[in-house]
Amino acid sequence: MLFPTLNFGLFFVVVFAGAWSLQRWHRVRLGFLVAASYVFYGFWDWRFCFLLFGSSFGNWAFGRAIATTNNPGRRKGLVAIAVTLNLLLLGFFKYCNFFLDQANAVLDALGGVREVPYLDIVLPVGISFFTFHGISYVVDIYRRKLDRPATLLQILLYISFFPQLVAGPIVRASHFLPQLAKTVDPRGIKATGAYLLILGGLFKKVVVANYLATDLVDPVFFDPTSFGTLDLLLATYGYAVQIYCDFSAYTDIAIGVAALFGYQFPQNFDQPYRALGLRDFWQRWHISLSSWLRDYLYIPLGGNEGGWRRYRNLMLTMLLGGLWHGAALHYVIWGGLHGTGLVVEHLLLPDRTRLQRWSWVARAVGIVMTFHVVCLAWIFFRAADIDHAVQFLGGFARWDLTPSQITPFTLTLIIGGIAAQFLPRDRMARLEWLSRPIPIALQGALVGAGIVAVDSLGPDGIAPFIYFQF
Amino acid sequence: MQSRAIRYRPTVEALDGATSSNLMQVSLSIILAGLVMLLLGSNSLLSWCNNLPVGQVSDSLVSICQTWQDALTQIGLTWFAETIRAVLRSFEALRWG
Repeated sequence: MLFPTLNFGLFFVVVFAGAWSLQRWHRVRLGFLVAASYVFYGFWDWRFCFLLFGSSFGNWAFGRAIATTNNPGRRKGLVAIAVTLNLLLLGFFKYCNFFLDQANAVLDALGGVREVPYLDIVLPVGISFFTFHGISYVVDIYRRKLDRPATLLQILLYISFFPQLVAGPIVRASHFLPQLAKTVDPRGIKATGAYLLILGGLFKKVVVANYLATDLVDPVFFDPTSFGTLDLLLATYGYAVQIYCDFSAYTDIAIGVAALFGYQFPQNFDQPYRALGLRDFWQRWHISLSSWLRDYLYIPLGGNEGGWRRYRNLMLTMLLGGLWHGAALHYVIWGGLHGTGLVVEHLLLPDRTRLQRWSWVARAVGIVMTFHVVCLAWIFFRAADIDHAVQFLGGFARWDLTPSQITPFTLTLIIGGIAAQFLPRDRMARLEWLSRPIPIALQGALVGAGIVAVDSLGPDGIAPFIYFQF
Repeated sequence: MQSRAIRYRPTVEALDGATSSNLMQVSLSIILAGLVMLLLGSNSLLSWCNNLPVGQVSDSLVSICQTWQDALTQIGLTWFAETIRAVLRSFEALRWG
């Protein structure tokens, strides 16, 4: 069930009415939201609901076991087992076929006649996100960031809550569980802000991301050898805008929908293409994942400890981040490019605060350079495989081909998408402030008209969000 | 080489400082949003019905939505969605030169 569909609209209305009518009975409300979230997830494949439940139950049980012992060695052992089991589950679904392929290749090279049978494994939608939520819970319990273990009902909802279930944001256990422990206030619904986030998200996904994909990015990346420099360059920019609009749209809608149920999620994107340097970029792009990687991978590896190990930790974190997207060399190169860029930046600019003292010209050059490094990495991320990425890069020397995919429309989308990165950082707060005098009922009518307008503007059919595949 | 402390950017709530409304007001606004969508988006509603699995219920729904859309076309309420779509399609079809 995709957000920009009538199916989701109807689902939302039923769940909204049900959840708020049960507001006085806190635990019943949580149970209702869990049931609704499982229905939402079951729309993709009901069998995976068992997987979701198993993962949640396992993490709850480990959380309890960790919380009820004070023996440091036992606590450490339990959290290590819990994290390993989570990663094994994720690894099985994401990498099993990759390893079977490799095993067969080795057997083939050794002249073996027996093949390891290929398993028909479908990657469950959102498995990365619910695994990350599970790890966040057991590690937060281990680090004593939660004063007591959550109930099973709270954990079931924390991991499955439908707005963030399939593509984040990755909400920390220490952030969301305290909200689930309290009764929600029916007088405190941040509806105006939620409407703005939902409408903006729908526009970014249905109009900007979808048209850029169908009119420019998909055809060029499908066969880069048929296109010349300008098409390839603008398809790269187009993909940068597309993936930002696609992914940030999902999380904006998720934040808005959660707010209508009385819950708050953290911001996940902060105008990433105005970043000055890659360190700055990773504090603006998919903030919940990059901070998750920092807290649960980079710091346990040793973090910023002195010497070369800092650079090793950075590189490892980015390479594993790339590998998480898929068992393919092009994702590893994507992570490697970011890792290398971060290491170089740490070496050349150890004191980041100096950047603030740069002249505006130097800052502008820095922003443009950062954007192009990110775009270069996006080529490897988007390409079907490493051969396509190499063909794509080789095409930048083909000046003789006339541009065929660039139209005034796609160019407007790209320019608009990049220009929007330079709007004031508090633009949403300003819009929300400007909308306050409009009576909330009239805001609803405007939201209805806005949704019809976005739906009419969009192409026929809705492509799934890019991050569903991860 | 000395180790450096990791700089934490504090978690930012996306809706920090946003104004709050009560449940009755929000419910009313959602009902109104639905009504406006029914009035202005009858074409999308019909498309959605046409994609439902074939059956007696969906046949009846298609019939109701078709009647609803015909009625709204007659009074000109489909103009909003059609105009927006037409303007965007013509922009999309624009080519250089």
